[in-house]
Amino acid sequence: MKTAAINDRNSGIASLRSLVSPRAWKGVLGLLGILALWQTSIPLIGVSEYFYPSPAAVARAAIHLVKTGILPAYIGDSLGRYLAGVSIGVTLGILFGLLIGFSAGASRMLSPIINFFFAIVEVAWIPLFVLWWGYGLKVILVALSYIVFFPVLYNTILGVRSVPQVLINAAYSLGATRLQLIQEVILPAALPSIFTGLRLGAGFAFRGLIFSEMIAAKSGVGYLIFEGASNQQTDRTIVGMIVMGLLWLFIERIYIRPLEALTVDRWGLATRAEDRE
Amino acid sequence: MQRFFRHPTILTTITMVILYAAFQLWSYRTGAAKFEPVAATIRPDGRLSAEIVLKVAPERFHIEMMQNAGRVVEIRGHSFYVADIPTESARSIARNYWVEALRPWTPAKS
Repeated sequence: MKTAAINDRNSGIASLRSLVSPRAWKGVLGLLGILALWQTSIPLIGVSEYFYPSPAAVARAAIHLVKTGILPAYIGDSLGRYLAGVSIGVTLGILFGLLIGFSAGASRMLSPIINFFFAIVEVAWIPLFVLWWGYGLKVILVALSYIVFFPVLYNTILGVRSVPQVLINAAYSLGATRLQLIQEVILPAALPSIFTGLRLGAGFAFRGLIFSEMIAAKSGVGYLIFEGASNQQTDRTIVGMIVMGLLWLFIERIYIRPLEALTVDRWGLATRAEDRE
Repeated sequence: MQRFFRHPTILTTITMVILYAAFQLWSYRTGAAKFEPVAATIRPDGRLSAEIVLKVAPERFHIEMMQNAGRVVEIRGHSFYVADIPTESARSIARNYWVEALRPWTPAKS
């Protein structure tokens, strides 16, 4: 009982320590340094606020955008689109990756088409998507899924093809069906690679989100950046850029990185077994 | 189980969900109070006309939202005069924290 209480207290202290760790403080200090540099450079450069707004002006713009309800609404719109687009792209990327990685016939049939489309960047597609479906959610979702699809697909294929043949043979000799082989051996072994693809795709999709919203939306943080530039509200453009950066930092730190670590810890066994051979 | 709930990802997600739910609850309660003055003016077709007063100067974002909700007749100062708003849209507008009040308003007959 006493030991449990001590353990509890120790883990609480550890959580607090992680919050005030020197690494975190160094990050904050770096950020403050950039802000100080930015603020001190204003009188040195000596151009108008329109060309080069000060951190104070950007902070005022951010507060105003929150007060007017614009920023929360746009963040909500952007996050919704991002999550939906990434989910569709990841699902399709994993499915096609498993299919191509597992079946030589499917690989021969689909690889040339996929390689062809891989070369055509999403930026080239967006005007065409707008022409087909008009401005709105559909265009953004298709564009984001397209961006996420390829990194997830190629990393899934890589993951599936890197599974040691000895593991596949062992599963078959133990009487595993094809489905069981995928579920119990291939998918777990490919997960670290899939997560590498997910991390890449999720990062690219964030950039794609800004571009898609600039072209095909009437809301969202990308639209805020575009609208700010069009209306000579540079401070709003910078607010949009900062919000995008912070959102990505948050998603990466709180969700992607822990999930990746968890996957490697839990499912990275196949790679370690390979290393031992 | 205790370790699971102490994981930063879970802790952050739960905190965000709680904060969001609390904010939504607060929005519903304040929205209902703001909607109250126009509740009596709902027509048999389920629509109403109202003066929607904002706490801030209207921007394109607010104008588009009002246009999506009903027929914007006039914008004066911080007030929108909107006709034929479906009841649910009016309730939804009232829930926004940047909306000060909804007041009964009758559009002039042309």
